[in-house]
Amino acid sequence: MELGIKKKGGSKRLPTISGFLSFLIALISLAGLNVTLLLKTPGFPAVFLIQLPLVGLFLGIIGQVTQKRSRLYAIWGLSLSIFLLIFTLLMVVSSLGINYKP
Amino acid sequence: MSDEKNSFEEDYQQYLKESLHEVSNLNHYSKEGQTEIVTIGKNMARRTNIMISLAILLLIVPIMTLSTYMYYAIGGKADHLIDVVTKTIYVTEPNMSLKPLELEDDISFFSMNINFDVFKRIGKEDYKAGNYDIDFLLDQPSFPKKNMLLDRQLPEFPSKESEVMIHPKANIPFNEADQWDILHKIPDGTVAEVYVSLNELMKPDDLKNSLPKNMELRWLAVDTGIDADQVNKEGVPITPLGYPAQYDPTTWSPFRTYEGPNEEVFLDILSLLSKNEAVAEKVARAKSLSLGSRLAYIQKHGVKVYGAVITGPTVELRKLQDVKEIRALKVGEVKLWNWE
Repeated sequence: MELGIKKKGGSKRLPTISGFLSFLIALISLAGLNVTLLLKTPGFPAVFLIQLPLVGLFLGIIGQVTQKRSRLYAIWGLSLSIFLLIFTLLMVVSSLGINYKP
Repeated sequence: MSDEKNSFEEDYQQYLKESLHEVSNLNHYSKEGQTEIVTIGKNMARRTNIMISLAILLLIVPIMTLSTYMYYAIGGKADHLIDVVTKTIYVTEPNMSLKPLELEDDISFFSMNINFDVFKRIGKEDYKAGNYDIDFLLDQPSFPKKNMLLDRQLPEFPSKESEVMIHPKANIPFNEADQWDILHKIPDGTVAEVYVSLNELMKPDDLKNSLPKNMELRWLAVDTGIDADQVNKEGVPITPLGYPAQYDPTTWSPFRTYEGPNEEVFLDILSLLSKNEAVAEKVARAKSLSLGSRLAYIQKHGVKVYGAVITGPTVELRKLQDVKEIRALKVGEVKLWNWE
């Protein structure tokens, strides 16, 4: 079988840049969260749990708006960002349900 | 039939020609172009594989952590376990209390650790008696790691010989005269804690009324039907069950009771512990509590006490020798004067 250039677009398999950035930011957030959880560092890691996931969410949504390029990274970035935000919410709620002190 | 076949043949040849024409019109890649596409594809696949694998690996710890928090939070499981542990201390450790507000917890993967200090009232002050550190694997506790700071600590593995509050029908395992002697030889400017054993079962209020003034009744050992034997049906040693005799102003203490006496709280606690006996038996010194039968006995016969913990100035405690209801006394902790 021969390789040839089709009439429409040759970059369809490449992901969007915003999607790639969204995935990358989500991975950085996850890595930071892992370090925080494993080292049990005190304090709330807002950068990894809120700020970066929000940026990842925003970029992931932008990454969905494309016709020519792959949405794979954008879907991963968006999903991980949503997971991180839901994780934050559930952790706060469940922490309040364990030995809560006023 | 033959015409139809020829027509299909022509259509097919026509389609084949068009397809070959279309293919011949495609712009063929050069050798370098093909190599570049393959390289881009390989890099893309490699990067995608790495990023997705990394994402899956990095999700493991947060998902495990979240699952553990949800397990302990849903239905108040952690609070329930903490409640059972703290209340076990109140009813199994004589004159020992804790500050529930200062209890610390730490949740790890599928496990929880709780850490708290325990206190003893000696004279007018609460002294730190030690520290408990208990690990839970889901809802199964380990034996507590205790770091006790007492001079005269009760034995970790109780037996008939080491008991300090004795039922009227049981033999006194220590020399009573020696204990009174110790109390007389302690300097006057001190306060002390003593464990007393009574000659007969008494109602808590009768005991309070029979004691001299200027001392405080701290804890009452309640008759539960098997205290005379000091072992359960299987022969495992038991320790007294009892409750604090005074109102406890500590925040979140179960004995911070505005309504009803401490007796009712004591029975409620026994009822709670009987439903969680496995946890309570891990925390208590006695490895058998036999709570079901003991609670039933108390509910049938009422709360009657056979022993108590009393604290006060040493000089005042010596007057207990003249109280006819007291059969024996054992000296506990002694501290510097703090009575005023």
